[in-house]
Parts: sequence; structure tokens; C-alpha cells
Amino acid sequence: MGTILLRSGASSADSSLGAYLRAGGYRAWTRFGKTASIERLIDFIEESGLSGKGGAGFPTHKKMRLMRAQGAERKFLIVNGSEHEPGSLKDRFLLEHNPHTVLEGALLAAHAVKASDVVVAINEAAIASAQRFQQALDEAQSDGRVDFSGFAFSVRIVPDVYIVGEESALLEVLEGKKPVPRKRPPLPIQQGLYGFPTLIQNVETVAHLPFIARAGAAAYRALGVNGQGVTLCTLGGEFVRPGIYEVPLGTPICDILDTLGGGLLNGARIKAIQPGGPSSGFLVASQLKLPLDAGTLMAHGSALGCAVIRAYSEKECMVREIGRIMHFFAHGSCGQCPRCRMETNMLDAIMRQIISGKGNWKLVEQVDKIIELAKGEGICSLITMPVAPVQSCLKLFREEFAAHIEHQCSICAARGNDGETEDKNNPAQAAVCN
Amino acid sequence: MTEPNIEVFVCMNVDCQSRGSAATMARLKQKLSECGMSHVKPEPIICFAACNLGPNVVIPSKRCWLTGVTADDVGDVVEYLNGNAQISRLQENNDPDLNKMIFEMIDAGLLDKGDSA
Repeated sequence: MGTILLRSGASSADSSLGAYLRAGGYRAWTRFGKTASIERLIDFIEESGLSGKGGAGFPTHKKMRLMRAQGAERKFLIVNGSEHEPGSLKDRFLLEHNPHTVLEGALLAAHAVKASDVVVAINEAAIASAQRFQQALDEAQSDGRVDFSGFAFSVRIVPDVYIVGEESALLEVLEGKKPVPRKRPPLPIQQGLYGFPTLIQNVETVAHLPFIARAGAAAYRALGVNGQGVTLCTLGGEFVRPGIYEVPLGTPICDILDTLGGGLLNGARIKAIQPGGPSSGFLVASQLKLPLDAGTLMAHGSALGCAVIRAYSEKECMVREIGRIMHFFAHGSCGQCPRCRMETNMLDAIMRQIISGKGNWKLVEQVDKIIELAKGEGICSLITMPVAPVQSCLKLFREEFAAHIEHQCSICAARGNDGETEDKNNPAQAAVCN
Repeated sequence: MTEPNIEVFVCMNVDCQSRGSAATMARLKQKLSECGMSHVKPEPIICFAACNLGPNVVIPSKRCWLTGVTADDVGDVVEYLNGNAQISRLQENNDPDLNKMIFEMIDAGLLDKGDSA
């Protein structure tokens, strides 16, 4: 399968400027930067159906048109490579192994929205990616074959703190302040970095632009099984073949888990997955033939997010797993909004009570009440993040909660008293779908 | 006869702390010690999202939620625990929905000791 974002044999590929130019790189930029109409470029993006790959999935062309309409003497494009979603590695992979695609995409995006300043924000935990991207930027700017006139690029390292992935918290960090989301309005597009209109696009999102600009919207859409293009997926260490894969949208989920990922390393069958990181709803084994695309996942109570797929085997206790996720969000909340702090802390406390054997159904019943009380009360989306995982987990794995409440969880018993002991006795590969 | 233990929860989260809950907790411990009320156990409590009313204090056995409890109010709280004072002035701003939820959560066992925290 050919790819547009991952070079074949990516680990050994030549990511130099010369190699990129020989492969046709920067041709789209030469065309749209010099001759073709900006409106045509945004039309291409609209026709391609590209939406943000950072998690929110907002249509890229809409953001660009809103930004383009902003009248200001100075505008910023932030290429968001902060990549804080646990397990996601796609953005740092692109920055390190395919930096010129990101750079060309950033030039196209900045040009399309008339931004003169481009800031590439990279997570401090991905320092190798930051170094390689900076090298590529220096190489391209000093070479002379790529026209950077009129643009000021900079690379900024941002803290490895979950809330920094939130757009306005990222703006605060880039201004040297604490990572706390801003109240809206104004939107970053109206008043962003240092008060100037700012378009924030995920690294992967801009990396799709050179292909769309070069090959056209129809060619991009045709890459997907369902005419929606492609996306990068991250499969974690629980798989036989973990890594980053470029996947045609609409591919059956089980093909990704089985054919690409090779099933689970511990040899067990998959009991459930979260297809879009910890804030996405759970899907169970019987749903794994569903196509991977945002609409289908949403219709089934889940989300594509940034397509970091976490799989849970039959040897894992889902009560403990949701407990970990609730703890993560309680820890990740910045604490600015009282209802978010209340919700995330209480859900964490409830799960801890249940895991420790102190739970009861009355306590479980409080979950929906807490969520209702928090509805619409947060400045940012973190307040909604625990909702889909906890509600889907309670719905799909009620018998596991019952087992915990009755002190009869056989999975925890088999794994040891603390439920944490890994079963490493069966490393054989297991099929996912059958 | 030994008096039954009474738990008094003081919110020690960021917002309540910024409004003085650490001083409230310290004064409460001091006052209880001075009064020999060892059966009253002051404890930190999870945030109940009543931050704008803090420092918040909850006395589950009396189904009592108190708001805006500063160190200066601690004397009245201790008197209330002894059955000698009205405390309604510290309940005037209570949100009824939140009040209901707090005691439902407590009744359900959220604050029971022995969790894995």
C-alpha cells in the first residue's frame, strides 16, 4: 500500500531536502506560492474533506476561511506538535522522519490564511523530533531552492503536560504563562498569540496539504475506502507490531488491529478498544468490523480523536482500566473550573472506591448525576473527556463492575491481588477478528 | 461513656485554600484539642465544586454543609458540634442542588475510609 505521509521503510528513509525535492516535494508550494489562487487551494482542501487530525476533527477549510477573513497587520500559524494524547506518536514521527512534508504543509497553510509568522510547537518529550525538524528547517531556509520569503518560522519546545494540548492553553504557554485554557470568545482565530489572529493546526493536518495541493481533492479522497482520505494511526506496545500506520479511512477496525498490528502481544483476544485515545468511548469485540471513520465511530458512541488505538485484552479488568483513565483526567484537569475539578476528582474517587472493594451500586448511580451537574460548565473540552469512556464502560462491562462490588473479580484474582501482575506466559500472536 | 466519632471535612483544594481553608483547618484542630474533643476528626475532603462559596466544611453525621468558614468562624462550628450554637448564617448561600448531591455522594460511600488513594 502506497502512503502519502509515511515513506516506505520510514525508519531507513532519507529525510533530507534533496531526497524530498527529488520525490517531487515542494512542487505544490512552488505552484500555490507563486501562481495558483489561494481560493483554489482552500477549495481543494474543502473538497478533500480534510478535518483536523489533533482530535477535535473540525473541518480544516472552515478554520482556514475564518482565519483568512481576519483583517490584521500580523497573523500567526501555529503548527501544533505538542501531541499530549497518551500513546500518540504520529506527530513526533512526522516531524522526525518526514519534516519537509510538514514544512511544505505549513508554508501552504500560512500562505492560504495570509499568516506571516509560523510557530511549530513540539513536546519536550520529543526532543529528537524537535532537533531533526529544526535541522530540516535550517537546511531548507539556507538552500535557496525553497522560497521562504515573507515568512518567519520558529520552533518552540512546550512542556509535556496534558492540558497544553488544548489550543488556548498552548497559546498561554507560548506567551510564557501557566498552561491554563482561555475563556472564549474571543477564539484564537480572532485573538490568539500575543493578541494576533492565530490559526492552530495539528502537525499531521498540515502534512496532508502538500498531497492535496499537488494531486487534487479527488485523488486524496480516493485514498480512503469510503472516499474520506487517510489518517495516521498509532498502535501501542500491547500489539505484536506497534507503530504508526497510514490507514485509509473506512478500513475495518479489525484489519488494522490484526493485519497491521498483528494482534496482541500477550496472545489474548481483544475484549475492547478505544479508537481515539482515553477520551473515546469503548467498542467491544463484536463492533470491530466497523469501518474506522469519524462518522461511524461517533454513531457508535466513540470517536476517532487522533487515532491512537488502545486495545484491551480479555485478561484485563475494565474496572481497573477505567479507574486509570479517570485518574488520568483528574490529574490532567488544570483545576481552573470548579465543576471540572469536581467531576474529574469525584469520578476518580468513585472508581478508586470500587476497585478497592468499597463500592456499591448507589455509588455507581452517582456517575450520571455528576456528569449532568458538570455539563456545559467548563471553559475547555476536558470536562467532557471522561464522559464517553466512563459511561460506555459502565454500559458495556456492567458485569465486571458487579464482580468488583461483590469482591469476585476473577480477572484481578488471576492477575494477583493488586490486579497489576502481567501475564507474560503466552506471547503467541492471537487473531483479533473471528 | 465514649462519644461517637464525628467527622468534619474541610475542603483543602486549590480554591478553598486560596480562601483560607488551611487556616480554618489549623484553627479547628487547635480548638478541638483545647476543648478535649478528640472524638471529632477533622479531615480533608474532595472538591464538591462549591469553590466560589469556600472554604467549605461538611459534617456528614449532622447532614450539614457550611460555606465561607474562615478561621474566625471555627469557634461557632465547635459550639455547634457541642449542640450550643446555631450555624444557619454559614448555610445561607448553599446551592440546593449541590447540597443534595453532596449528601447523596456521602450516603453512597464516597468518603468511606480505606480506598486505594
